[in-house]
Amino acid sequence: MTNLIEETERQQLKYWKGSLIAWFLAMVLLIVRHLFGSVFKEYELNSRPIGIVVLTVNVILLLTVLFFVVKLYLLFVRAKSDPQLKEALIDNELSKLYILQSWKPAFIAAVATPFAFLLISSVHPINDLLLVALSTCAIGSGAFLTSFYLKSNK
Amino acid sequence: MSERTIKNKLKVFRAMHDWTQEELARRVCVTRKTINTVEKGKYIPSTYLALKLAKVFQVPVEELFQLDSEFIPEE
Repeated sequence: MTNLIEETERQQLKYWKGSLIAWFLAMVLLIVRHLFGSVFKEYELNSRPIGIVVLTVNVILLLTVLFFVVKLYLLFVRAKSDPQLKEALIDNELSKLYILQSWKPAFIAAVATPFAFLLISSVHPINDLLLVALSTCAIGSGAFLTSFYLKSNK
Repeated sequence: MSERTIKNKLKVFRAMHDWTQEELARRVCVTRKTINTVEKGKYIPSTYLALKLAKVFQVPVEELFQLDSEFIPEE
C-alpha cells in the first residue's frame, strides 16, 4: 500500500526541486545576459537576436517556476483539507525547525550580496541600485529555499 | 557543560513490534524522515511527539527516551 504521507512528501520535494532548478537557471541567464550585454555594447555589436533568444528562454524558465509554485500550492491546499496530511506535512515540527534554520543562510546571503556588488563595482561600475536591491532579495530568498530543500531532502 | 543529547530506544521498540519507520510514521502522523532523524538522535522531538510515540508503543515516555549524560539537578 502506498503511504499517502510519503507519496505527498515525495511530490512536494519533486516540485521544490523543479522550481529551484528553473529559478537558478533563470538567475544565471539574467547575470550572463547582463555581463554579455555590456560587452556587446562596448564593442558596438548587435545583441538584439541573442537578447530575444535569452528573453524567450527566461520567460519559459519563469513560467516553469510558476507552474511548480502552483503545483506546490495545490498540494498545500490538498494537505490542509486532510487531517492526517495536515498534521504530518503542514504541522510537521521538523519542517518548522528547518524553516527556522534556513533563515541563517538566507540572512548571510542577503548581507553578502551588496558587498559582492561593491567588489564588482571596483572593476565594473554599477549604477543601478534597483538591480542591487532586487538581486539581494532574489539571492536571499534563493538561499532560504535551497537551504530548506537540502535539509528536507538530506 | 555537557552536550544536550537524549538516548532513545525507538529502533528497539520498532523492531519488537515489527514496524518499519514508514509504518511508525503513519501511526503517529509524521513523515518517515522525522522518525529517522529522531531514531538517529539528530533531532530531539517535542514533548507532544515523544508522548505520541510512547502511546503507540504503550510504554512510559521515559522508557523510550532517556538523558544521555548524567544530569544532576541543582538544589
